[in-house]
Amino acid sequence: MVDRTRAQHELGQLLARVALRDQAAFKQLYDATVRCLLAIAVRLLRDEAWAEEVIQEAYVGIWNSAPNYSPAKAQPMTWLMTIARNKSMDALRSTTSERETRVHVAPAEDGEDDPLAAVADAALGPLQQLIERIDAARLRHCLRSLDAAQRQAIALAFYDGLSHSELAAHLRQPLGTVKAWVRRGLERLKPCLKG
Amino acid sequence: MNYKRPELRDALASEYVLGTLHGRARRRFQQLLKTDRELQAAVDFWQNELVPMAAPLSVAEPSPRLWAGIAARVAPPSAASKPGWFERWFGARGLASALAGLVVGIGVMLVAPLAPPAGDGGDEPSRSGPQVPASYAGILSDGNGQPAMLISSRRHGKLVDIKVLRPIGLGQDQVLRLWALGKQGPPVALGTVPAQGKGRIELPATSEALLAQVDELAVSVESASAVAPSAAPTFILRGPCAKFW
Repeated sequence: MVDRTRAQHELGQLLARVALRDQAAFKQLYDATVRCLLAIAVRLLRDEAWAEEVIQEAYVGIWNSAPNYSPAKAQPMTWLMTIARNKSMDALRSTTSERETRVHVAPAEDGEDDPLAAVADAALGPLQQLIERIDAARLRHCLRSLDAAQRQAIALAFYDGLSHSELAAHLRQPLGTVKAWVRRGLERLKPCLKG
Repeated sequence: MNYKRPELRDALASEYVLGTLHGRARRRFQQLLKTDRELQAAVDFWQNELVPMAAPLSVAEPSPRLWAGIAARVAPPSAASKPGWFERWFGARGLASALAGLVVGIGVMLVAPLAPPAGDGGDEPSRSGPQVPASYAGILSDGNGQPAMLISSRRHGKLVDIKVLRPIGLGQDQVLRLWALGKQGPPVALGTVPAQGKGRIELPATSEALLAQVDELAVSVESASAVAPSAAPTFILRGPCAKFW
């Protein structure tokens, strides 16, 4: 708990220096976070070259918007991951037909679609390791309260960036059914997350 | 679609963060986010709750090309040629509109021809032949990339002219402060600027001395009753500063 807070604090300090145009701090921030952000993009885009292009955009965006970052709005790592996810989603969602030909959506492996497994510890370098033990206890608890179908649909959408129609194809269910799983799942999560 | 209903707003915000909102609907939603604070608040909630889940099981090793690409755009090799300059600040709107904006800006400021300084400080036009005065100029844009303020200064002068393109709302005890951002070191405060109309700042030294190493100018909102400028200002406007002659 103390380590994780310290890691977020260190990241926050680096971000503040980046806002003041400290290029050495920016490189440190990059070194501490790129493997995580790149992994998020690779998972969504299924293409390492494409993911690198998108993550380049993400870091330029981080440099440009660092002055607008507010610790009150989000933890540093959440803010960084949000930028990486948004850039990846924008890339993905603007070229759906391109991705369909590039990507074979692999059938679910045991545990892979289970978001509960995904919030477990990851094997990363020192600072990254501290960062990645993000407190997802509440999220884990709330996800547990969903139906398995809702949880799976949400996990596939979130981690693999599957659209509604891709979800329907992957899970072999009607479009209306998967839309309802996602919708109801999110609706049930909210009051639980708000505590 | 009635975006005012809270359940619908929340549904859209959650699906946007999750990733199931796409195509035209996603782009339309992103446009709405720029001006709808409540919608942004809903998105903030879902981002803070869901995004930590994105922490990946395994990591990806970047190629050396990735950092090289980022560094080239964020810290271009020389001050004279900046390959990333336009992409950085005028991206989607393109080179043409950027140049158009700068030409209009300079045109407004160049009322009379000015010869190179003969010890007069360079702020007053002289009567010699028509030459473009050497000057610094910057266009500062807001968080949405909209140009909001035009700054210019004759190179060998000490005066900075400010023209506000989009008036900025300020509270009772607030002022706007102009900063110069160089490649290294903290931002340097240049003075206070108006929130609308035109203004002028006198610099402690010539523009050439102060702005030659400056990449960008920025504006922060500060308390009027503060004793000194903020040590870590938050900028509401920023933009590149370039030399013209």
